[in-house]
Amino acid sequence: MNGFLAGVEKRALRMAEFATGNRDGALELVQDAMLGMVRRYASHHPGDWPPLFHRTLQNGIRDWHRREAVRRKWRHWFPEHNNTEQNNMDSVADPNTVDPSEHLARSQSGKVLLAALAALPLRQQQAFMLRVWEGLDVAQTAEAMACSQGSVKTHYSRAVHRLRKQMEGHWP
Amino acid sequence: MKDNREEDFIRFARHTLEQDLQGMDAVTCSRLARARAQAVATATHRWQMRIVPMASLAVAAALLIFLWPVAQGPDTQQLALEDIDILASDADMDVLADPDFYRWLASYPTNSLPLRGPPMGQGKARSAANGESLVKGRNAGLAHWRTSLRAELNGRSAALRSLELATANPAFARLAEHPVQYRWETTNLWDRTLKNNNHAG
Repeated sequence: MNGFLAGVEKRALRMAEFATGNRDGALELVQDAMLGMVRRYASHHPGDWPPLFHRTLQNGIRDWHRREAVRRKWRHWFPEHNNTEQNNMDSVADPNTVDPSEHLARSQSGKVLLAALAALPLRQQQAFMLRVWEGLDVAQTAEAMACSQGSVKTHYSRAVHRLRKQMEGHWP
Repeated sequence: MKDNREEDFIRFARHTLEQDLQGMDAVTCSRLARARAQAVATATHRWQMRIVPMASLAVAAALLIFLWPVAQGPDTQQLALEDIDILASDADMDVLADPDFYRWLASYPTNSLPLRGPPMGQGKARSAANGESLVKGRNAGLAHWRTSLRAELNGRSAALRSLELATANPAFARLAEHPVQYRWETTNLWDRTLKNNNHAG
């Protein structure tokens, strides 16, 4: 189990970052997914671990978005009085946050791709990452996303179409 | 053509993501490793939390089974041992069938087993039930008794050794080292039972 988690943790963190736009939140989600994996699925066959882990992670990401939606409504009805201070803090760069495109300064196409990935709708983003980056097949992706195989194909197809459209001019 | 272009795009996307991953800073990598270690440690701790109570329960149950007769008193202990002895060994059926003969065997000293029965006419090797001589059957009975005793003691020695280790009670070690004495104590119970029923010795 430790070996499996070591191999998947960085990709899982990046997926969570793309989904949440937040490094600390992504780290918490990955840690929760690891804990859930160890507690519930350690006795399962190792071949089942990848879709189970990503299902746990994606469930956490979905719950995070639901909580964020509630928080946004709360902030809308009860705005905080120290908005100015918060805005000032927002403008200060966090030295611990690494821009995902920083290491691809020489590759403009890479930067555009990463930005486009971050802008994808959540389900399309999940389907694309799991199929392309994790290498899960359609059935495993459906299990991880808790949806049908047909939905996986649809989300994946739309993600590819959308990314290629946004890459026009950067990708031949 | 279209499929080839899409395949090329997928390969480019995968390469881009991998390149991006290699640039992850050391602080983040360290936090990930720490989170993974905590998760794995949780699993180990949960297994230990399950095993320790189960092991404790198993030891407590074993002690209760083997020490309950001790707690009830010596006579009850012998009776309990007698019950176990009877239930565990087919040889005890012979004791039930002909207790006089086995009482005669038990009258010999602890560390010596008779190679042949008593001389004819001494009367000890006679069945109190019907008066018939037990000489003919004494050697066969003795051989059977020794065989059954040896088999019984082999199994009982292992159990007694385990109890000695589990309880640190030297009494179990004594029984393991002097198995004939253990049998002696068992047979003595029959002697008292026979006397109580007015059987002639």
